[in-house]
Amino acid sequence: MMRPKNKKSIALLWAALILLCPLCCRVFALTVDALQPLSFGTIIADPSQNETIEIDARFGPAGTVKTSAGVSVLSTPGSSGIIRVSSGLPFSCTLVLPAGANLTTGGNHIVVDHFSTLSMAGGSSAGGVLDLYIGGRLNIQRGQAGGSYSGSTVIMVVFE
Amino acid sequence: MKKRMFCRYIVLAAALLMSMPGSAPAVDSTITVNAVIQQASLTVSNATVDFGTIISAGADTVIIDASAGAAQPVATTGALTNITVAGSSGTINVTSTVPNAIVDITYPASIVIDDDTTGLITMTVDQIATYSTPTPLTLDGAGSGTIYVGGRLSISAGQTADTYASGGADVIAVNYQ
Repeated sequence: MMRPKNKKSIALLWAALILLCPLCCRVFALTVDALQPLSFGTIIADPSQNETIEIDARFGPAGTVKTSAGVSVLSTPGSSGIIRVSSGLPFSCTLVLPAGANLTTGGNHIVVDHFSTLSMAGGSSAGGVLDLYIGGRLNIQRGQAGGSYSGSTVIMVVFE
Repeated sequence: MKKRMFCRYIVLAAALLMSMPGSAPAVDSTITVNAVIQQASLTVSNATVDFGTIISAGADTVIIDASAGAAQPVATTGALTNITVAGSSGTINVTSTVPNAIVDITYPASIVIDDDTTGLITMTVDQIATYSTPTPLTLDGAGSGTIYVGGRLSISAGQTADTYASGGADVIAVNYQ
């Protein structure tokens, strides 16, 4: 048989839980879509030395830029990737970017890295659509085999 | 006593809830990455090195010095050798899909030419690398370049008069560095 004073304490405990619950539980209605791939376009590679091609998307959409001293030609421009975050509520988010990605064609491969230094770190929205631009660095090796290289990587969107 | 215990539980529960951060939701997104790599192409033309028509009274050499551009043959000893019909250095046109590419040129050490009549009498052209466009060659902004080919023709004393030519299989190799 519970005594009255214990009932009062239990009621206080429930009240505290109900009041504090909103502090630790937040409900989001959101979607995250990979809207556009990260594309380095078409490159005629310098056969004599290694080359690096970058897309610097830290501040928004960007194209390809050659950042090494070779004579490679960017014959078709590339473009940054886009991750679109949509929500009906205000939100802020940060991106957790991979260290690198491996692109392949046949038995050949090419590495893309520097995602974290050449992409947007995150952003915020008052409630709507937020596009986050993804860049990276393509590392072309001397004698890199020709072909259409493709791969994928996972980017984590963390909501704050 | 029990009331005090309940109060402690409430305070503890409140403290725990307050200290728990909202568990940040996270969503993974898979993005595609792609690139198209094309290998550079390089094309070269054939060339003919022509020492012209030479009248020589003794052993001598005739040099086409094309190391700085197109050139004509010059006799080393003018008193012995007269070039009656001027020849010219050979010209190799180089074309690349990569502007400003650097290419290496590998010349043969020597080329033997023989007479048209018997094919048994020979002369030698050497020092081809010395008297031709130096290697490496940097192509221009359109990916084009020209290699001028020269050399030194050695004429023996009493060299049989005839038209001399090589078999045409002598190779100058051009490739990206």
